[in-house]
Amino acid sequence: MTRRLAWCATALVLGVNLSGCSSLGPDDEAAGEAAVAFHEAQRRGDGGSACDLLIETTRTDLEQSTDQPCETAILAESLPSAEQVVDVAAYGRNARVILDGDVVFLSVAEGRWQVSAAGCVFQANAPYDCSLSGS
Amino acid sequence: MTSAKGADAKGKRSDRGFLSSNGLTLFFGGIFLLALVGQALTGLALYNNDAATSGLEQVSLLRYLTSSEFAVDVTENWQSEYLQFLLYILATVWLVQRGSPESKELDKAGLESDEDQMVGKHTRPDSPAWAKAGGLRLSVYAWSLALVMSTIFLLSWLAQSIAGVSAFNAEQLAELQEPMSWGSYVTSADFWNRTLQNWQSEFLAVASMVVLSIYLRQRGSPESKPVGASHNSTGLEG
Repeated sequence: MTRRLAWCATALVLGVNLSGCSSLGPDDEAAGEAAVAFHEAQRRGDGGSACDLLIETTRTDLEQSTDQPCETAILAESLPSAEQVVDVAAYGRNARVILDGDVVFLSVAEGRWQVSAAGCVFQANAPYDCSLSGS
Repeated sequence: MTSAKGADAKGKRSDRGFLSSNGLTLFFGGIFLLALVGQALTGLALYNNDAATSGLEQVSLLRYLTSSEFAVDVTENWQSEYLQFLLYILATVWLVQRGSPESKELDKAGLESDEDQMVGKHTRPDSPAWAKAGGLRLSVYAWSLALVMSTIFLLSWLAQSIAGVSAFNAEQLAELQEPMSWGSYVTSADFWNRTLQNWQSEFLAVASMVVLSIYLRQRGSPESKPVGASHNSTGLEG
């Protein structure tokens, strides 16, 4: 939303009457759906689908740190249970989705939202502490 | 910073063609567009290099042009340029600099008389309609340059703040950190650092121009005194 405003404000300065400003922002709703889908896949034991929703760097880190294929390692992760979206903040190619039991970070890769970190706990004046994240 | 001279200053139409009559506007308009295109292309390259390093997808030029990263980089420079000229327009009404062609003569500080400004009973047949109108329209027109410059400055600064918080938050999220509200951002170090690093360079350039033009000359430029003019002569343009 803010990115959309940024463009519209810039367009205002440019004196350009742009239509379609609303289509240029990151898709907040899709980010929330991807975060929920990731948790659903992990909860039902579908490691393949959960890994398909992971961004490459996080998938690689998970495999290297556990010495197991992603499909197996992701199911061994003790992520908190979460089913519903509470809040989404999306800027540029990154998003933070607050679910009813977890906080998930996502980035746009391969043309869609992919999970970069999950099992995240807020820390004041520091990055979230995430049980699953890439480097 | 310049004054019309010669035939145009006397209100006469020049016989010169469109291009040569508008060379200054066309030249700066042209190099502005070239520089903006260059900024867009190099900015896209940097953006996609960062994306490749982070394992994120590459973006198209159109996508980059609509990004907060491009918007904040453009508007933070725009606002400072318009502020620079706005302050210069207003400061030179009341402040003078002995020996500088950028300054009015020392005894002319202030808004000047109606006669000097060709308003009231001193309007001329070719004065602009709003200058002849008097009343509110004259008051608005008498400040129209500063009003428009300040409006563009404020809009650019607002756009910088909105695009800036978006770009800042994109980085925050990439580093698994909490995003910031617009209200918090406009009091943040990031916003004021972006703002002040532009302002300081603009103010330095203006101060340099005012002082250097006292002692140095550029033959033929209205921004300079005539080459043979005294260092003490003020408000004299070449």
